[in-house]
Amino acid sequence: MTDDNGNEHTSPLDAMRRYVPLAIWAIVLLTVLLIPLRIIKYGYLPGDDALRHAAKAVSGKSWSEILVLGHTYKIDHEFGWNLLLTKIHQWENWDAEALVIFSVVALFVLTGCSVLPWLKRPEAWLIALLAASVVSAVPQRFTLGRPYLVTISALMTLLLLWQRHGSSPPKIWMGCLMTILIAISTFVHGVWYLWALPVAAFFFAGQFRWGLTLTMSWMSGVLVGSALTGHPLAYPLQALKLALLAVGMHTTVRTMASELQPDTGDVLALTILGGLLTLRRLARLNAPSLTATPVFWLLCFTWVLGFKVGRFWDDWGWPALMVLMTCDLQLLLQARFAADSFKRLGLTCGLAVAAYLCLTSDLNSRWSSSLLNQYLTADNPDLKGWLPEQGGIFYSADMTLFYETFFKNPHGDWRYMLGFEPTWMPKEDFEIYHKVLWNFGDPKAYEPWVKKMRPADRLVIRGGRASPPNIPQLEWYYAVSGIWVGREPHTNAPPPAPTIPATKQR
Amino acid sequence: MNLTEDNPDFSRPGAWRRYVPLMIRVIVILVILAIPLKIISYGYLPPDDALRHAAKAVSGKPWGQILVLGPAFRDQNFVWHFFLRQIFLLSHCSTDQLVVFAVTGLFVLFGWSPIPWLKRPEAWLITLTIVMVTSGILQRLMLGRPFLLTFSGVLTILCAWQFRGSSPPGWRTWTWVTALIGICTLVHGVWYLWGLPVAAFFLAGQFRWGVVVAAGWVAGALLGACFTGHPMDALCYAVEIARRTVELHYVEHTMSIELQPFSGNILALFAVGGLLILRSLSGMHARPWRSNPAFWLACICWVLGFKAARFWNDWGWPGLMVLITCDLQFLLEACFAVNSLKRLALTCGLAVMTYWAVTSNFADRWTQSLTWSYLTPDNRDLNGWLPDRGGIFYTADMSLFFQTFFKNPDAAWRYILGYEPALMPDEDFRVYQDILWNYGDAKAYAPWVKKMRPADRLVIRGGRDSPPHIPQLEWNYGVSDIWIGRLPRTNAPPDEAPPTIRATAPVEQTTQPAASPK
Repeated sequence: MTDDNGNEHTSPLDAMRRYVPLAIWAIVLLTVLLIPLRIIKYGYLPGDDALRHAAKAVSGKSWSEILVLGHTYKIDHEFGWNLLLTKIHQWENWDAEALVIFSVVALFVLTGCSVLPWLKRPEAWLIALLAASVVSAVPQRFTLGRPYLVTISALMTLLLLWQRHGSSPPKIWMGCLMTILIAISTFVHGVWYLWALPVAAFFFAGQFRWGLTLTMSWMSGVLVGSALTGHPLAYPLQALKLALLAVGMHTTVRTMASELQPDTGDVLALTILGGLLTLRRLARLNAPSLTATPVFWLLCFTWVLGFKVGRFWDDWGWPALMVLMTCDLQLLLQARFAADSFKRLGLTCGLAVAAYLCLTSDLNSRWSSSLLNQYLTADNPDLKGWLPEQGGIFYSADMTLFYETFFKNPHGDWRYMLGFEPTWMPKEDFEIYHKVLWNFGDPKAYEPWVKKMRPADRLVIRGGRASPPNIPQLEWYYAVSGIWVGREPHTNAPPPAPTIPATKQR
Repeated sequence: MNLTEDNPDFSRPGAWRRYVPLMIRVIVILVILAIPLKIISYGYLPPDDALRHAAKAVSGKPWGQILVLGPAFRDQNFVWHFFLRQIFLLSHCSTDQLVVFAVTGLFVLFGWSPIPWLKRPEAWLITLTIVMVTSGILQRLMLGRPFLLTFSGVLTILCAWQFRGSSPPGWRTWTWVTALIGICTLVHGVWYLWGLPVAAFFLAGQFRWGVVVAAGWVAGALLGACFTGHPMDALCYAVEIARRTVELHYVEHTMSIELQPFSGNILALFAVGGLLILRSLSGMHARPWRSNPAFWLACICWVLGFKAARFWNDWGWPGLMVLITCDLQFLLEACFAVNSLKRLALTCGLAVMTYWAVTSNFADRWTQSLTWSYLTPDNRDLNGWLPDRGGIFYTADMSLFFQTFFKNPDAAWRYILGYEPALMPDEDFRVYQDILWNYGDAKAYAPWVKKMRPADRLVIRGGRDSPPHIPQLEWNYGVSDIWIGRLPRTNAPPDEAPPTIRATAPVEQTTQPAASPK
């Protein structure tokens, strides 16, 4: 047995040393598993898409039966993921909440574990998670339970595959693995076109053989993934159209979904990169030159593209930075600690505790804020007559109201005007939505919706008890804390009576 | 060092390498030009002084006919207004176009000012990106205000020293430094702040340059002041108004934001730390910082920033930018041959990066003005609700002055609050200060409400659901987010927009008076 300095010696503990690497693996795996479980224990529910994926699976309906859609959205954009959740619901009879918990835990574990098979020193990954958690909200994005995490896992796997085997030309099994990963990503997430970024990164790094293999894997993966949806051509084509709509229809970025808005340049991430460069120099790490590393180029592209759309950096840049961090730290750890060193075990224990505490800390109620959510549910007697009626439309300019209401009412007999992406609604309604946001929610901007509302429809606006929406054509009910529901005046409606009756008839 | 591409044998593929430096310079120049054009294409308008400068030029009126002024007043930006006025008279352009000209022209002036001194102008692009991600200073550089001339002047002098510092300055240096400071004094006015770079030169031990810049400062300030026609008055007034601007306020929160203290701009310190590491790791043979006036200027202004942020924003940042650019230039010189194609490729990448970093519309920074609602007489909903001829536009919100004057340069009313509260008559300043002291409490407006005449208007920002609580006046929700109050009218003309909220009895007796700083 050897110590950290390579000296041989014997002691009673030596027999235990052979178990050190195994113990470290177990600790890292357990930490990655425990983190989402602890977060879920707070009562955490993600705030966006995971809710609607789960609700859709429970509802068994198509998106056109759930949303008022324009003519572009025809095929489910996350076909594979929704299919998986629907099957789980059918097999296990899980409700929407159980499906969300499954999504959060499974996808976090998938992301956290996707890097581990490629590492000799898995504790390096804990440091990367810890650093990312301290300087950014990226690990929070790992707990959103959304299918883009499959793409992130595939990306990190692919980058680490190169880091591990990049010195030799890619073998057939590697090409097959890349194809499978991209096919799965396309099937469950849909944004096949963004794989052009890692492809470009490989070419910029001068890794031409790998770049060619990845290009072929990309093309075949997209074909396979799209074919699995049953629409080999329409599916990828629609994905492109939807992306162009999502970024092209807004006059200003303020009215876009926040994750599509530009990034500031994430100066703290640059600090990490600077730190890594310094570390390479000071510790004389035998790392490949940055410019010959696809990870570095992917970082550069996505950082710059982040000034256009923040998601480039969040979903493609940060995973690349984490891979770079992990690889450099792995080299450092290999240089400093023997594989079976007890010091290494001690360090790993410390890192596991730190990563666990850092990621599960309920700072600013980030994991427990959903406990305060108030939902509009059909089984609340106070809301009788105040939810949309059969065939009605749920008008709102607040996406969270769609997520939360659909999550709690997957079988609701109404449709939502605003779903998970505003540009996919009919054009005239998008213009109204845009005007509402443009005017910072001014009630006047809702007028066109108010005019076309039918008795079965409802208009739902967030606001405090003391500030009812100034739309006197409707009668208003303070339904649950922070939410006002408006409807056309009912002359003989059952109780409860409106909080504020309509004052001006149309 | 990678000097393999220095090979002077221009074989066929490399024959055009000689054009690489030229191409790089052209790319950098074009990017700096493209940035303000792209930002302007968003519909960007700066929120403050650029609007009033343009409106002043279009109106052709003296400030006395635009503002209700206190005891002492002199137009510090006299030449800038004259310049804009001549452009207006020659081209008959609108106030909008004058603002666009000011924004674009001054940004380009700033962006181009260090380029003649740089051997590796691409270093300047990296600096711009670093500045963009670590501070909001580039937004400040898009304000289209004459301080940008001073900013460019400081950059120019520091760059000149940086790249000509080894040779002692002669009378030519003194001449252009004098001319530069003279123009800055004439256009911008704050001649006394040039004491900061002078001090920086002496602290850096650059005594010859210090003497030349000091002599240039004295001569330039006098020369600039002479062109105003009142040399001593102009110099004294600049100091007097600075004193009033700072001394009249009891607390910082009633000052304009740019005069309030800053918190230390920690990210800029990160940039400095990064430079130190870079110097150490790359073994750069750069001049030590302690003998660099740019470093001392940055240090002095960083400390002074704890008193007023403008020291750091307008004088410290130019120092730091020069420091960053010079170190990066050293690094680039060590890494790339001057005619290297890699250098060209890097510059292209940097150009894209800088362009996107600066023009990125993060947090709506370039499009906020699109949602502004203006008070204009051609809006029929405002019929009867703008001040009458000879009336006074009362407000405690400077943005209302900037925007309303911008849209109504020829209006026949005056503004109680203009671009600097210290310019108001003292009694009105006290009312203004009480309002800000009480965070806009309606009660604090009482003295203005009492002296309002039928021709006057009181204008306050507020949402549709929150009219100002001043029942003596009748109120109209004029445009989105703006309430206009006037004295109740018994026989308003029929074509006038009716009040949204009618006047009722005052409620002074039932509520506590507003607090006062005294």
